[in-house]
Amino acid sequence: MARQLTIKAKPREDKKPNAIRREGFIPATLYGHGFESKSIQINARAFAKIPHKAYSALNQLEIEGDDNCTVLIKDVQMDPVKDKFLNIEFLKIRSDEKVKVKVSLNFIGHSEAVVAGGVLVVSHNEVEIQCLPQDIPDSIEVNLEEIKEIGQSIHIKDLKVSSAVNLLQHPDEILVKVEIPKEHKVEEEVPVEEALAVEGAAVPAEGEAAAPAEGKPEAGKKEESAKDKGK
Amino acid sequence: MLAPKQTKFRKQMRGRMTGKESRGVKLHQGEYGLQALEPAWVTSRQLEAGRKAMARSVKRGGKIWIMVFPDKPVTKKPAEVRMGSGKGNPEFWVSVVKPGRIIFEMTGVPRDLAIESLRLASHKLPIRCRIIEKGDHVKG
Repeated sequence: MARQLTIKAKPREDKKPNAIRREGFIPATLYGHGFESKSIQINARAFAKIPHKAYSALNQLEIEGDDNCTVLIKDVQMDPVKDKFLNIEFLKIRSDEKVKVKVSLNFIGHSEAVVAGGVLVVSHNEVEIQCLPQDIPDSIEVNLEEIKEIGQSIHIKDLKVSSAVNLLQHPDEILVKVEIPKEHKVEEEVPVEEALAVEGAAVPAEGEAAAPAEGKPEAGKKEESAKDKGK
Repeated sequence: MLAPKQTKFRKQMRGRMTGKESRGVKLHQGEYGLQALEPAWVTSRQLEAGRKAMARSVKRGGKIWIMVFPDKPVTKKPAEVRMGSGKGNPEFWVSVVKPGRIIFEMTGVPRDLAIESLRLASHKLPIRCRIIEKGDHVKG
C-alpha cells in the first residue's frame, strides 16, 4: 500500500463557491456510507502538490476542529482551460466495506514488436477495481514483453492481480496493442470542377432522405434561388 | 473529408457556443493532443487540412486520431439573392468546438516530432490551441 498523505482542510465558510475559489481554496465535500456529509474547503496550492498516484490511495484528512478520517479522493473536477481545481469529493471509507477505485497501470519492459517497427497504442492508463480499502494496490503491472508480434494485444483478463481484487471492466477489453505502422496517405488535391462533377453524380434524386457525403451537404433547391433572382 | 453518411434533418438551427467543454477534455487514446482554447465551428475542410499537415510531418509510423466529427450542416444563401424565401441550402459541415475540447490526438512518434506536427495542425484551425501531453491533466 502506498504511503498515506495528510490533507489539511477546514469547514466551509458561508460563502459562494466562486468566492472561496478566489481566496485560494477549493470547495470540497466529504461523504461516506453511514456518515453525514460535510462541506469543507482545501488550500488550492497545497492540493496541487499532491501526486497523481495519491488519487487512488488512502489518505488522511485533517479537518480543523474535527476528527481525522481516512478518505479516498473520489472525484476531482478541473477547469479544462485554466487547469484550476473546481471541486473535490472525498469518500470516507469503512474498513469492512469494499470500495471502487481506479488504479493506474505500470507498463514495464519493451515489446519485441515495437522494436520491429510496430506502434504501441495504449488504450487504458488505469483500470477500475473493487476491493477492501486495505487491499488497494499502488499500481498494476503490465509486462509489455508479452507482446512478441505486431497485432498482438494485452487484455484486462491478462492482468495479474491478487485474489482480493476484482477487476470491474470487461475481461476482453484491450489495454495495449501493437499496431502496424501506417504510411499516412496524403491525397492529391482533386480539382474543384472534377470534385463537383463526382458529387453531382453521387447526390440522390430525393434530397430529404440522405445527406450527400462530401463538401456540399446538399445541392438541391436551385430552382428557388433562380426564382429569388427573378424577384 | 469527414461528413455524416445520413442525417435525419437536412438543416439545423445555429445554436450557441457558451461555456466550456465538459466532455472530451482529457487525452483518450494518444500521448499528445491538440486542445482548443476558444469556441468555434471547425469545418470538415479545416480538420482535413490539419490531418494532412500532421501526416506530412510524420511521414511514416505513429497514429493520429481526429476526436471531433463535423455533424452540423451549415446553410448559405446564394450570392446576390434577396432576403426571405426560406433558409438557404446546406453548404458544408462543421463540428461545434468549445474551449477545452481535444481535437487531434497522436501517439507512436518522438516527442519533438509530435509537438511539431501538432503545431502545424493548429495553424490550419480557426482558433487558438495548445498542445497537451499525457500526465498534464489530473486523472488524464
